[in-house]
Amino acid sequence: MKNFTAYLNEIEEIGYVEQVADAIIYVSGLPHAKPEEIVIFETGEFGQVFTIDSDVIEILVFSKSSIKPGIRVVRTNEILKVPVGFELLGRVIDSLGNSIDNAKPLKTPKTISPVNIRPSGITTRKAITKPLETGVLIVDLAIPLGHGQRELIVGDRKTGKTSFLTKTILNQTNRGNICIYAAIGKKKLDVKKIEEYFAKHKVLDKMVIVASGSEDATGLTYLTPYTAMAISEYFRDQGKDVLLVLDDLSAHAKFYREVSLLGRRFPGRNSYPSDIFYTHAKLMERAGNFITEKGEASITCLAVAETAQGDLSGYIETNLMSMTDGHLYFDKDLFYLGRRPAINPFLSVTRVGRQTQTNLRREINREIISFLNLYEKMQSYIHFGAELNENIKSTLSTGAKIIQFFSQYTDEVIPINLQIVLFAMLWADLWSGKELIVIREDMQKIIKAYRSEPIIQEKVEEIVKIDAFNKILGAIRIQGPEIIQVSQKYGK
Amino acid sequence: MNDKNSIHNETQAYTRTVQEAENFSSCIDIILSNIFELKNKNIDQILSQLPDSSAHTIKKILTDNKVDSADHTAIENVLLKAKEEIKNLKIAKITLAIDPSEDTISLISDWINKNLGDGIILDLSKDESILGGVIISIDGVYKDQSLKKNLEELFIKRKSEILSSFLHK
Repeated sequence: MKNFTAYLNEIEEIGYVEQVADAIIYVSGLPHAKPEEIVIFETGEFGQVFTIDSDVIEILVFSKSSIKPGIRVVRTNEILKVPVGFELLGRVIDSLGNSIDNAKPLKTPKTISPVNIRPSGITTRKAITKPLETGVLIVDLAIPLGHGQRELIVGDRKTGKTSFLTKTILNQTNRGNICIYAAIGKKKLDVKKIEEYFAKHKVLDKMVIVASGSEDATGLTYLTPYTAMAISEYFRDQGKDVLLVLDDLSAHAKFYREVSLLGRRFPGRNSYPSDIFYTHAKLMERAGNFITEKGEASITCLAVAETAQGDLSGYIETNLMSMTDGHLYFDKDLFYLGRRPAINPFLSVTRVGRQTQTNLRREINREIISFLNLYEKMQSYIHFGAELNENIKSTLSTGAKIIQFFSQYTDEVIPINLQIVLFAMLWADLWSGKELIVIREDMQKIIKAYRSEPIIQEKVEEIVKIDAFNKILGAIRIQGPEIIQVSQKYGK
Repeated sequence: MNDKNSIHNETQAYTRTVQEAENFSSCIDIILSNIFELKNKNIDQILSQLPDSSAHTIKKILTDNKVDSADHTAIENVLLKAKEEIKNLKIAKITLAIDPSEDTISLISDWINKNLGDGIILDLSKDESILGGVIISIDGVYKDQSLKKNLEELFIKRKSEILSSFLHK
């Protein structure tokens, strides 16, 4: 970008700061300013035209330094663009593409891309057909996702949403996909923890973290998901499947509400501006499965929304639900019951995930959902204790095993084929009469054995080639005990 | 003469610069704050305390509007209108390399009113670094017609020619 004087001489238009209201600066002059155009202050700061009024222009400023009334402003005839490229992989950047980590200086990519563009049209899109593995049992088996899907991750704070997201990122980066993590208005310490977590698991070089803190300028925080989306679009255009995590959009909505109210926009429901739906929908529409010059590539968007006291009917939450292809609900009550992840399969939805599944996985999915429904109904009989008949007792016992089966440790990522085999072993009742803790330990051993024992891997791959779940159960009854036996040498 | 036109024309004629507009406005404030005091039986008493030029202009405005010098409410109304006129004047920011003389200010003011329309006052500032010429900005439009900029452009355009002439010397 050129400097203030160069733009002043080139464009020959000038404005003067009239009023400063935190992130919004009121400027007079600049008769031909356009919405979203970048303006430069004579002190070096820059901002974006937010609203144009008859006698004053509102500028959303991207820095916290003090801008005083009387300062000169010039427009640039340019919209906001950020540098995008493979150089960003492994880095933590702010919304303007500047490095904010302690690593070596960032080599600025040569390609620059507009931050806020219109979503691609229908001709460049393709139906979602590829399954997206999260490595989380309950999601992959019961509420599956597909590449290019937009899924809302909704739940109260501290219910394991971030843990699920990090698990998914780990699994996707291990598969060679690119992950972009947008931390919107997060604490610096939290961002650092996320960075260190991925660095520890050696996947940081396959992802980009776009972060803005609560101490940053509101304009920068507002910009974070757009920058993350622009970077995702770059990698998509390179033919890569991208997983974009927006953590979280309810915080983004609050920051947008702040700038809108400062900009004297009329407040609507819960004081959010009337275009909050449009703002988020326009962003979410940029994700999907696309046909690019380098083949089919997708942007899978996992947008996070935080609920208050488990209230799913909040304004932003319902908005986001209606613009995504489903949602995973992290239930506070399940979390307190000790379920990890605390995903409520009955209140979670996937609208396009099932179409990506093979017949076998669809069959397993149906089994699980119908059984969980039955188990849920049976829960009300639990207090009858000894008076229950054998049928109900058996359902409750299998249900408890399945719930235990769905519990995962934070760093535990389970490949889909192993998920199927483990579930089949459970369903075939190979651990009949055993304690839940023993089942859990055996499963851990199998997971470890799968990673290091080629025989187990071969067996698992062979079993999942069978195209019907009943046949798999038959095969598991024969080969399952051997798998358990081989894996016994791997400790807990 | 129409009231509004008379006030408009006189205000225009008297206030060429922001400084003059501020002075004129403070003269009006002095009159407005003193006009209803008992000791001031006549407007002339107050005008005598003001600078001659301002007093003359205000008197002319009052005469043109046929205001009775004893009717203080009518005087107040006319002066409030004059103040409103000053408030609505547009400001043209002019940067020169010199401190302009009274004649230069009049010349610039006349040129501005003739070419850019009336109702514009000058906000003059001095910046020796522009060497000569003028930088003008009005209604957000900015024109740099300074000698400094012209020379810079000339140097850029004829860079090689200028450099070679130095080298040959």
